[in-house]
Amino acid sequence: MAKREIMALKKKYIALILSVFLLIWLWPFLTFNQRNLSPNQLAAQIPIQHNGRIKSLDAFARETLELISGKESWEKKPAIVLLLENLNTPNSLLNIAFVRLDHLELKKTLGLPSEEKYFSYNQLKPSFPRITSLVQSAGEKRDREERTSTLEQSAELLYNRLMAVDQLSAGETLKVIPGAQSEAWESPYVVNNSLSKEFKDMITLYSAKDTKSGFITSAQNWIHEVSVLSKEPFTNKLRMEIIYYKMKPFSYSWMLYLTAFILLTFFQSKPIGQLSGIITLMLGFLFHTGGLLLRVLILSRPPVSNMFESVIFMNWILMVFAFIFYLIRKQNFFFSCGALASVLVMLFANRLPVDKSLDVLAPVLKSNYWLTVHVLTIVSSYGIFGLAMILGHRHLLLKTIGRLPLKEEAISAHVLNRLLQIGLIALGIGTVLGGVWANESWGRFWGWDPKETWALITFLGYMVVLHFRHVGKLSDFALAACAVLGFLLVMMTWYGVNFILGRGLHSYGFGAGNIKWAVYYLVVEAVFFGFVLFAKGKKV
Amino acid sequence: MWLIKKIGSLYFAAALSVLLMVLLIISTTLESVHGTSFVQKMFYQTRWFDILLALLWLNIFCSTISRFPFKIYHIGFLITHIGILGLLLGALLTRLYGIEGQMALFEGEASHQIKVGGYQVNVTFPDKKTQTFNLNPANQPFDIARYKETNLNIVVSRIIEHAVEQPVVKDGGENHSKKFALRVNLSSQAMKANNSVWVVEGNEMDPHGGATLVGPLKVSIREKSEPTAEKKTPELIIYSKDGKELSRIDLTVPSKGALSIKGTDLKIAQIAYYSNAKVGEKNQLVNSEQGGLNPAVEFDISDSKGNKVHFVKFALFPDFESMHQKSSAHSFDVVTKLEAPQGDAENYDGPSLTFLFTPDDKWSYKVMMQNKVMKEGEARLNTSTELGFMDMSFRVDEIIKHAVVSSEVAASSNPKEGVFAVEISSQDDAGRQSRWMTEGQKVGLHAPKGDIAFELVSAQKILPFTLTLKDFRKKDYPGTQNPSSFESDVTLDDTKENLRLEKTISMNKPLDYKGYRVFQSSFMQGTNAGEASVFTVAKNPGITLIYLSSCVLFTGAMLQFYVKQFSRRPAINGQKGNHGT
Repeated sequence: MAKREIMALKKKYIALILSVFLLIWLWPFLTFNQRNLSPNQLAAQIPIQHNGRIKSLDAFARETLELISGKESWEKKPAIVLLLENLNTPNSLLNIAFVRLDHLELKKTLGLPSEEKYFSYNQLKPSFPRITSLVQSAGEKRDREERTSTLEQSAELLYNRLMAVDQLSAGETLKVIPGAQSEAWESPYVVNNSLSKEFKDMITLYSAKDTKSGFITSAQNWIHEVSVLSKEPFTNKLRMEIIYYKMKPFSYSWMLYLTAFILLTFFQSKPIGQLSGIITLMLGFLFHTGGLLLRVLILSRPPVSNMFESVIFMNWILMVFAFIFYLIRKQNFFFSCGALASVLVMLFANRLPVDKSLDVLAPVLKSNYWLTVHVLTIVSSYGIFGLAMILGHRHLLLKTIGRLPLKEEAISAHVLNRLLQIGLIALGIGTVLGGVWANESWGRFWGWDPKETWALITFLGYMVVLHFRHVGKLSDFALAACAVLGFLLVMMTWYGVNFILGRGLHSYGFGAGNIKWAVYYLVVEAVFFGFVLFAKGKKV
Repeated sequence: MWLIKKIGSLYFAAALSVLLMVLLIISTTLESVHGTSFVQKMFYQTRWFDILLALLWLNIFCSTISRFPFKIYHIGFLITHIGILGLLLGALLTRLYGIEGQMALFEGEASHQIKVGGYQVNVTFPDKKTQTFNLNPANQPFDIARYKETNLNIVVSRIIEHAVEQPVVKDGGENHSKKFALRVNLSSQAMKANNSVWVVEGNEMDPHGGATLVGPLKVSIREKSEPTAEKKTPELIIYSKDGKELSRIDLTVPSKGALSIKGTDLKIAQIAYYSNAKVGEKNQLVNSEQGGLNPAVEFDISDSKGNKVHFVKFALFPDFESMHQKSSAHSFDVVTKLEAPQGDAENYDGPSLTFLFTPDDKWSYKVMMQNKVMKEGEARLNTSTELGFMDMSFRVDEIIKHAVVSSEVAASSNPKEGVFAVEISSQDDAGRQSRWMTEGQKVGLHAPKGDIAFELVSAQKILPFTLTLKDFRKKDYPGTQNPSSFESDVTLDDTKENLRLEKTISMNKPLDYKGYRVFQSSFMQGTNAGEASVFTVAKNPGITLIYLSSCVLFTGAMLQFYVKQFSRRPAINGQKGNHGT
């Protein structure tokens, strides 16, 4: 087939297949109605106040189970079923071995079998004094601004998990009754009124498996009553949240990106391979965009308020720039590289030891125009540098194994230079905007905070690279190497300052991290460069 | 021109940038270990760091003017670099003339001073004249006054940032009375700790009554005594308001219905005794299995009019009741007290390590946790022994029999511990006298014409206006303790201008006045004095230049990257240098 025909065919098919998939994807939104819901679907919609926000009982159950056991379901039971079945007999929760404990040393210290991973609350009860003494010593160290040991950190995590089980079994966290006077909701297991009785009766109906008529009618009544009593509208957000959890947009998008990468890399010689590759990529991007949009709508805030969101947004920008350069340069490798980067970034985001939940913000981060623009710009620059990084890898690898045609080499180098320029401007503007925000928030434009200092280090690094490239002192190969190495600075600014240095103003809600991933990344890069240098040395 | 070209060369710029990068990497790493104030003092606030930035400015300046006469393709370059020059100048202005400080106000309080960080010594001379001395950042000693006639020198002799009072334990020899002191080394792999502490028998300087707390562990010395055979019977004693004993009830005998209290119309009933009480899940009392620790008794007292009150009485915490019981509608004119055997005289159930000695100086140790003996044995010098929990072990390094304990002020080995302390001393022919003081403390020294008074306070700056906090409000996210916002109603008074402003300051909504900005930065709650609001007051004279220069800088960069005729680079040495535009 002639190339033009393939292109024409492509466009038609892409449009057709995309619209079919879009319809399938949107189906749950279009057909979401209150009739014919299963008991569990209905129960999922019960509103609950948790961590300062009204959310669905489904989200509450997932987040709580995730906190306790690190999983979203337990022995194939969805979190919500586990919760509902144990609500009216709260003490039964204390005997379920679902409290996760990974740290070997802590298990040893507490005298627990090291091969087991899950324990019940009652099983851990004899160890409480030791756990609390470790938690205390961690707290004392933190007061003295000292570092805590991993043993103490895992004791703290275990303590939080046990507290969650404790509060759940006492029903304290189950705030499903809108507050009569204040904004704070109440738990039917703490207060005693007609509503709490109604709620308990509803749960009894559920446990008695009287789900057909009894539970469904009373749950529908309950949801209606609560929405009348509550002062704020939440129904739509609640529904979106349920869809968000059901759809798992980011899990689908990384799988689609992976398929797209495989198709575009290994089957690109066949038109059908290319076509299906591009379609899967676009689908992945649709899920990606949809997931981000849902988060924005549910939380009414820009999607960059915690580490997880900023990773996902960075990746989205990376893909946007891959699309832009595809449109300008008509080269498939932008897509395959973008897809590969997205797979890695999304896997990383899902494995990240950070809060993925949809939660509220510290006051200083709230509703501020400059902050929003600042973070969006900065994270965009990370996305741009990220694309440059992955293209840099491709350039180095293909050049080393002698598979980079001259024409493609020129395009690749040119695009790398462009990306670094755009990234540098975005990083610079973002950093200055951060200064503007700081000046508006506490009267200081620049204070050598580690995060801003590292942004400056990164800026200086890329700036030196671009200056040398500009005067012709940097070959294409060296530019590609700099695009890869420069991203190490980005990683340090973005991730390392919070997780490795662990200090400074920018640590809101990021929590203690894990050095492991940074080490993996460095090892992979070192191996890569070792290979490139070795192969290059051989050639010369 | 040659020199300008050299200073403005790209290689010099690159060298400076890379040097700056390396220094910043080092400084942020050090900050992670030693804290923010350390690097501010060692790097960012130093003269050499200023000089480095000045060199960078000079480099960019020279590189800019070396392009003269300017051509059209220099436009991108020029605008970008002028932007950077302006940015750095703005930073300099702020560094020289900027003010930043904190002001904490309780509701109803007013102030016109801010704390700007660091300390100052206020000196009041005998003639009531006062003088303020700012401590230099390097904490060098300095002179305060000299009196030639008596050859008297008064100086700030030592400044210690993290000062702690350390006990100094010495062997006083046979002449001193017997008092044991042990130097004990405690280490834990898991908690990455290794401490040496002095444990002194009945150390009166120690608030823990002869025990030393190392983390959660309590270490003490005691003479080994035979356990007393005598066993107390638990009894509930009832006194009248004036302290007369009315009745004594033996709690080992199960109660039979209501008992009347002698001399009153009161009846006592429903008596339940717990030899080791613990508050259970539903707020009820239960017996705990661990040894006799905190006995308690529950009972009802009723009068003839039918008023009835439920009481809970603990042997160890007599005040517990008043804290944990809802105030009852009725009170009776009697006082009750529980007397019962208690596990240990102290109400400490955390881990402890006790060294016991016998009259013939034999040493043993005992490790307790939750009032149960975990481990015991003979204590030997220089032998490491495991505690049996938390991966901790101890070693006795030294035993002193006639310990003499004194204290001295020294810098703490842990930079996160201790307080800021200043030593004032005077030296004349008669000798030397010295005094230590910490923040807020006043001390005096003798001088020829009377005493000189010194006071150590935080360094302050006077503002041209007074701020009064009328009201502070904090809002939480519903159902949590996490603040969602906080704000303060303030009044600003400028007496010079005869002006009064009323405003509400909140997060991200500062008050602007005469180049000063007042920000809501934090708050204090739960203090006895009520709620306090903390403001940051800042004056940033370079900020306009910084904003302007930033706009110029990025406009320049865009022109450079995207408008070809503003960025073409001429050939250097016949080589085509224009890449990637």
